[in-house]
Amino acid sequence: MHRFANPKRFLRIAAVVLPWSTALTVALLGLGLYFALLASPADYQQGESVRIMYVHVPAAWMALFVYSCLAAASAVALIWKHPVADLVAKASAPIGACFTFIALATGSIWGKPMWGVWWVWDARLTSVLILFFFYMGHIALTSAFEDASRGERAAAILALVGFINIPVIKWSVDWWNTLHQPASMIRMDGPAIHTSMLAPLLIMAAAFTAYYVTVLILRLRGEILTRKIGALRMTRIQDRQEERTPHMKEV
Amino acid sequence: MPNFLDMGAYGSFIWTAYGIAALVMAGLFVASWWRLRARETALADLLETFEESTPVGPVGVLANDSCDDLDDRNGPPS
Amino acid sequence: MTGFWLIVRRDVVMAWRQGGDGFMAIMFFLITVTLFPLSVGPESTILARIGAAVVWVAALLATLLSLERMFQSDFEDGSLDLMAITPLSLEAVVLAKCLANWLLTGAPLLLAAPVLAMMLHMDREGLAIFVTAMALGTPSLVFTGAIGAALTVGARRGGVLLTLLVLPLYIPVLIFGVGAVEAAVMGQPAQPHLLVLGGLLLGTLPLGLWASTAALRQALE
Repeated sequence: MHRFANPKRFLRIAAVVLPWSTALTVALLGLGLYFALLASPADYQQGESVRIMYVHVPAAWMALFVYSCLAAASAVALIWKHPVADLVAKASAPIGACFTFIALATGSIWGKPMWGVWWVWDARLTSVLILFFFYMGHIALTSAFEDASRGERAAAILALVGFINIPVIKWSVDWWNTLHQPASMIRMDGPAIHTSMLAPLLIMAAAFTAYYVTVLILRLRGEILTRKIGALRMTRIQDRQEERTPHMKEV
Repeated sequence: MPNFLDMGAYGSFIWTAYGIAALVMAGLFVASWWRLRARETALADLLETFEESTPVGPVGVLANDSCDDLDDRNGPPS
Repeated sequence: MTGFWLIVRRDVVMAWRQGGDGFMAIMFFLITVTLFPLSVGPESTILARIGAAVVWVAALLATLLSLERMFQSDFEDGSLDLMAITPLSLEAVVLAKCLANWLLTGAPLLLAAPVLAMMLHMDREGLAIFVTAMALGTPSLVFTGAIGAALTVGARRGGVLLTLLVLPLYIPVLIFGVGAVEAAVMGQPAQPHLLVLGGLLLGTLPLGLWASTAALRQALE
């Protein structure tokens, strides 16, 4: 982990990984969509509308996964003051927010034919909505200060505080009597879904993960460049000040 | 083909859902890409002005290839 | 230990002199709650149904009003720096400020709540559970709110950002606080809800202190 603390070395590794992750994203998305829309059966009870699951569930998984990565990166940034870690958190937040939005929107669209309502205030939906608020709060906090690094550190603390929400989301369907379907994937006695539906689900999940890696690298490069530009501008201002008043040294 | 688009009368729901997901994910990718491009041009412009104005250059930044200055959040060592 | 009580007294007295955080909070509370019977209509069944929720939401908002001032003015005039270097640990300073804040907002709300419960036609058993629930819930609101206040110290548009950050954290207390009162009103056992509220208080105390202190340390660097 400390090997990645040097941004330039990290950028070199990222440059190698980026084309692969992009290609993987495209390939897996193609494969996943083929299975999701064409090569998988309709559901006995829900008919074709079950196909929404192949977007909704992976998006929801990613919303949780990205937040976990964000929280882990925040912990690393706070404990070891790792310079790349808080950039990972900052870059991941918009991606996680997008996945959460997709999960909420597609879930709502799926809910209308399945439950008859667009929205219901049960534990699972409410806690995912709260997750969305945490993402927005994180993004707002990082840009709320003149000093960018102050915002990043504050956001890191917020990320750790909000991590409590993740187990709540996971087990909300078990703890409360909810309208949302109970856990059928990660259970003690294995997944409860037939392979023909499990395959597209897992492929789409893998595609979304590759997407996350790709966009994360893009945003990380952007953040590192932002820092470099800021540093260079500071140098230019200092140089110009020295040119004007050459006898005054910086204390 | 009509059956594919209709999806057994659920067509509008399914395609709206997939459409929103595609739009958001593509939009985020494009936005991130543009942001990176904009930063790269800004950096190139900034480096040009440095080479123009101070040929000797601030020793800290241009000559330093190990990016140590990026580890120091408050700017390059003065 | 004297330093601790000095900070508590200082905050309370200062707020009192500046027109009273507590007084403003109570007035806001009363006015907000009064808006509901005026807009929903005086039918006692409706009011009894939503009364608990209305009072809790108003309490939440009133607490939010006072949070912004918790650290901001001390941060601006340098008192926070001084407090950080005293022998008293920063956690103790935060705890003292939380206690002062609760004395100014939570305690008055506890006193005002029975009056409001009466205005909203809550019955006797509901009232007892209600006061207990507020006694358990309002400290949680202060500890959680301190996190937001500490995170946004010195931020641009800190007040709005504070609200955005803190409201999601308030939702569990709201849900179980209202659940407790409604259970009592409907004759069902409110104990599970009260136990969860107690658990939330036990949880938010260390979490709030840790996060606020860490955030203040970041701000003071």
